[in-house]
Amino acid sequence: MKKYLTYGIGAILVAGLSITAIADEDREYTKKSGAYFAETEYKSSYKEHENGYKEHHEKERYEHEDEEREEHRYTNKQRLMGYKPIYVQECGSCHMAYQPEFLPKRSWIKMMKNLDDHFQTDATLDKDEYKKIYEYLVANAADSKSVGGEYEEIADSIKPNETPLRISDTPYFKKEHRKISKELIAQKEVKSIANCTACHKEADRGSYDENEIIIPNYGRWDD
Amino acid sequence: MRRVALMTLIAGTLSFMQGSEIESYLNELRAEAKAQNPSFKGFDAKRGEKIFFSKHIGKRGKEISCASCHTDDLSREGENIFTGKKIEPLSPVANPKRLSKVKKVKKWLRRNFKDVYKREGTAQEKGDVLLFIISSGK
Repeated sequence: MKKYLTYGIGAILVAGLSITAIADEDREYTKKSGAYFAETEYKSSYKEHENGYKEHHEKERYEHEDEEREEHRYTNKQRLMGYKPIYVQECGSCHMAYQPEFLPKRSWIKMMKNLDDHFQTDATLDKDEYKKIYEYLVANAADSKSVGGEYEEIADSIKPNETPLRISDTPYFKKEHRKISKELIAQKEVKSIANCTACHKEADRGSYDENEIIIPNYGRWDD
Repeated sequence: MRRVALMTLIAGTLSFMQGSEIESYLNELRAEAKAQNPSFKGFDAKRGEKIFFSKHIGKRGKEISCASCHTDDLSREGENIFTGKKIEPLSPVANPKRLSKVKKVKKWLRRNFKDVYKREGTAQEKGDVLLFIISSGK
């Protein structure tokens, strides 16, 4: 009896130690992960960048499957909704997690291709997060589905030959915010026009109704 | 006697597995630091403190330090000076979630060293600053 007990405990110890020694969930995909993974998984969109990233290239071939997948991606609503928390967690760690409906596909794709220089910050992601966030953004972009309200207004105001990276650069946005003074935006409670939640109290929920606006040191907006 | 020894071994292994993620990362960094500098003696929270509080011309040409966003007191909430986004306390004493996922630790060390120092931190710098963070709020 005692012998088996000893062997049992020994086995558990060995197993435990080996798991601790071997298990390493971290994969070093940090160098230029933005452009790198865009290249391997979404080849059709990045042909022009192939030469630049060939040295980092991992030969993952999804050639024909890619097109087939394209259709299934957009109908797989539940899977994509599961990616939303990842987007909010990763992209909402420095600023508000802007609703993807604010910008067209091409803007999000451009953004994701340049995460190593995302408004002068390194915002690169690991491979798994990158894929999920990319899919989530593209599937929910203004031109990937039917959008209404503010999303539609903003989307319609963007010229087809333009690819804005800032929602605040779109014509409709500028029009809607033209009467807000620079001082109100620069004040420390707001800091930047990109800080929607400072004034739009329900922005995290996707609501930008005028009656929900409370500008710090000013009050409600009414025009 | 033998049983007691066995029990101690198990308890030791189990507790080793508990905090192992960040500890094994620190060991990785130690090995790297030693490889880069043979006279490396170990991480130093005092050096880490300097790394954390010293100001440098960083992102967007602004003179910033880690404390610019994380504040002078790691048990307090911080704020991203560029976006206004609130940052939860960095001290693991005040915020037990901190330093629990090595993946996350690596990501933010990479990003924030680049923000403040415009380069990645060396293994020694990372270890020093991690030790400082771990010991903060104690």
